[in-house]
Amino acid sequence: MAYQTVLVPLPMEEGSDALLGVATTLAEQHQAHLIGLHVVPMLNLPYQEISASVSLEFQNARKALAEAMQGRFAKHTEAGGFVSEWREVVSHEPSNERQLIEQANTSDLIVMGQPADPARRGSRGSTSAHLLAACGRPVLLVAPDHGAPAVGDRVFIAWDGQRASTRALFAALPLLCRADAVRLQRINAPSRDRRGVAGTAEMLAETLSLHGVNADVQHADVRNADVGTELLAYASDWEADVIVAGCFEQGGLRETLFGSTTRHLLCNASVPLLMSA
Amino acid sequence: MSYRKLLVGLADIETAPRVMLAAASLAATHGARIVGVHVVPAGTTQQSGLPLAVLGDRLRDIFEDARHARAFSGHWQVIEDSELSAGGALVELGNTCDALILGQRHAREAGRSGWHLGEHVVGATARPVLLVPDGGEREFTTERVLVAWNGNAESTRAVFDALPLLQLATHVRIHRFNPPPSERAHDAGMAEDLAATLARHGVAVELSQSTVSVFEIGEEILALARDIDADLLVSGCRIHSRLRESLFGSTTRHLFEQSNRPLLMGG
Repeated sequence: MAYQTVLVPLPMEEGSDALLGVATTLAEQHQAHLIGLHVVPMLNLPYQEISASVSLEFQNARKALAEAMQGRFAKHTEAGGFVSEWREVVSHEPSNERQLIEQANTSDLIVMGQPADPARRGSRGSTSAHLLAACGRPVLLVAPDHGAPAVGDRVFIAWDGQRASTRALFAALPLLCRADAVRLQRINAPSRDRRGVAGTAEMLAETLSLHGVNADVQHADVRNADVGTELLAYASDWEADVIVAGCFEQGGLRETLFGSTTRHLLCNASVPLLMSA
Repeated sequence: MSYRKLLVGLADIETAPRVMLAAASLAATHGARIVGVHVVPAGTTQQSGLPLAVLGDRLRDIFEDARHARAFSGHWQVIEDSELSAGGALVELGNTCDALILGQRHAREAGRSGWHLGEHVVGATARPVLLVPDGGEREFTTERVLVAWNGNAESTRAVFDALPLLQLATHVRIHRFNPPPSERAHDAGMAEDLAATLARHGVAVELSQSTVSVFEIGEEILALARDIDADLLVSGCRIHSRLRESLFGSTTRHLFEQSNRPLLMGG
């Protein structure tokens, strides 16, 4: 199985080279249809105080950005042995996110950039938070300074048995099937008060082997506050080139607020993160 | 991609054979292993009006009979050592598999807090759940599939969770339910994009759509299923917060309670 339709949102120039490097490498490996998406905001400013020249300047800037992004997309995809498609969508709403979410929901995978400043990653109200909460597809988050285009030779999966990380794991199957090495890191948070079903990590590894994935299972008891730190340490020691994890574990009413583990991963991971809510 | 491991939960002697027929059929088509499970929550001494030992033996026999008759690979497991509820254990086990299969009667059993077991499982699991109807003359098959889609995250997950089934179906209809124009904010072209993505996975689909109020969607889906003689319904599952009486939204609840066709709910 493969990612056949990959969406790469391209809202700005910063980080787009790293992002397109990863997206095109994946598209090549999976022979995917790669869609570069740029949403052009068309604000209909009703204020009579805004002069026509300012409004025009704004529109021209937006147009120039769209052209620049299209140029970058073309440059990265021209040599590729896969189908690529540029999509420019006009948004008449204050936020560009609805179009992004709709496009995301008809793709297999979204490859998306993270803010350059780690402190801004995973903040409440960030685009990635909204996207992960509202779309039913996995998102691969790539930092702007990410250097290696290859992702998925060594896949580290952080699994706690709960819904989000399980969704992320199965959504990562196309990646797992092509990996040289897969680590299934079971996190057993000792704060959990009820005894559950024993041996689920091993059962999951068996299912993965039926899909042709040979996963090495490791267990770790971690104290709640340190889960993020411990995970990154394990992943780094193991030389992972991508981490698969769930997000919004603290979910419930706070739909667009990442839990502390997720935030830690977003702000501190030195490799791309494949996530699902 | 195929389903490679299926979790089947059995609890009721009368309907278990039918559930096993469906499971075996799927296992054969996809080359999947089946894990059959009887969950005994700690502290119970009887279920379905029978002493546990008797029920347990009968369910195991039903599983093994099916295994010998249909030659699938798999094993039977009794879970009686956990502090979880029946639903909780099924969710934990289900999360290690590609899909869960439950009988409708089993799913409609009252569980903790008054919710049905099925609500608990479907609401918490990360994997798709196939609900097998209790009765009827229809032989289990997944040739003709009706997918109810409205572009949101839940129905999106359902479609992609169902992909192995869609790839082997002879006929797939994706029906988009649009809210009335006054509430509509989305772009109608998304259904075509979904069809294109599915086509790249080898699935040819027929698209249709209608505009109905949210209260009519459930009945519309069932009526459409009758019209096109669907073998399987695929639907997303909208979950309310745990403060509500019913975990399901009205459409999901309607399908859950009224569907007399196999129903796959997204994980």
